[in-house]
Amino acid sequence: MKKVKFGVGIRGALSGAEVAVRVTQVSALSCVLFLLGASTYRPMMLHRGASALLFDLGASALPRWFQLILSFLYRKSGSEVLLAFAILVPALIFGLSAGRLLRSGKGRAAAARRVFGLLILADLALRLLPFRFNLAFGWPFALAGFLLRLGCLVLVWLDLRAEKKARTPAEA
Amino acid sequence: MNDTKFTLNALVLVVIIFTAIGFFFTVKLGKLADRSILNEYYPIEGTELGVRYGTEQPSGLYRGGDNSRELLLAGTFGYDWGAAAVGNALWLNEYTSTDLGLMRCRLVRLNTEDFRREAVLEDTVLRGRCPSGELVCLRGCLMEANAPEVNPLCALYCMSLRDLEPDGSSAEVLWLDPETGEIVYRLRDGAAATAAFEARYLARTLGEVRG
Repeated sequence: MKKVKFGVGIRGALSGAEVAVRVTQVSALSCVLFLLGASTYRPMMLHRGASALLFDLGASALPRWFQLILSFLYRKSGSEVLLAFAILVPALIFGLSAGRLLRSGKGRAAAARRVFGLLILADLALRLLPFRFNLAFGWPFALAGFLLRLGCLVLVWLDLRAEKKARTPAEA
Repeated sequence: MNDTKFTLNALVLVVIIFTAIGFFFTVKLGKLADRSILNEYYPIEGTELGVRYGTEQPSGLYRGGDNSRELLLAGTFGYDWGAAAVGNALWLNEYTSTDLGLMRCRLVRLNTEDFRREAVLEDTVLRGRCPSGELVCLRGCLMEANAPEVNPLCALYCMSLRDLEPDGSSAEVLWLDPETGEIVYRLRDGAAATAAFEARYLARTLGEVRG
């Protein structure tokens, strides 16, 4: 089995920012899988099953501002079909554009990593504010989402540090 | 690793396509395949109007007797929990369902002259009139049929609203003046959405509730 290494500069490895992008995409997928399941078997919504837990975890791991937009959109439209596409299409666009940015020239990729780090930091700060929406899915999921995002931030920070270290001898 | 990246983006794309196909079969065709027959008519007291729920004929507000009913306004209006006719205004609950069947209720005021519908309060259920004549409404909780305590969609639905909680903990009882539609009194009661609602609020005048 192929080992996945983290860090910039390791050929063929996933960088922290790429892991963060994948976490967001997988979270989006888990939400939509619940919606698809519930459309096939409606009682799925009325019982606390594994799929509902998957939805809660996936939704909690999405950026908070994105969750709020989804909630607003769902309330206004009353359509789960629209909700599913509102989750999936941005996830695809984000994956494609982030992948492009992170694999572009060194300067742009480093800037993109910094922006990612700042966005995740802002998201974590928003999660710490005492608003009700932060506990919409309950304490365990709020904590799990926070830890997942924090993990992404640490990976991005490790990327940036490794990049800085790699650059310093060259500059010297 | 380029392959991994391609795979995840491609997977999202594949899920988008399957979602479109899946929802077409489960939501659009599912509605067409629903063969349950419903035909109920509830006359509204004090008026010649009635609310019909039907699958053969459209649901909505009707006028007239058994053989000559005329559809005035299409919609799923509720008469089970409360309706009130005051002058030209008819106060009713209007139910709407999401694609997957999450039921929502709002309070609407219909003008019985031109049958214009005005949404007065979203996510609010008209429960009836108290002895002193005010409309008594319950706001800030989702309908029990949605199983809001366990349904993750309810949590997402409520997330962006400050005064709406799936468990009803931020529920409010509102008393409305049926003439003007103004809220004359409001009372926060997290346990309002219970069976005791009638005894606690509908059986007592506003003065008694105010104490």
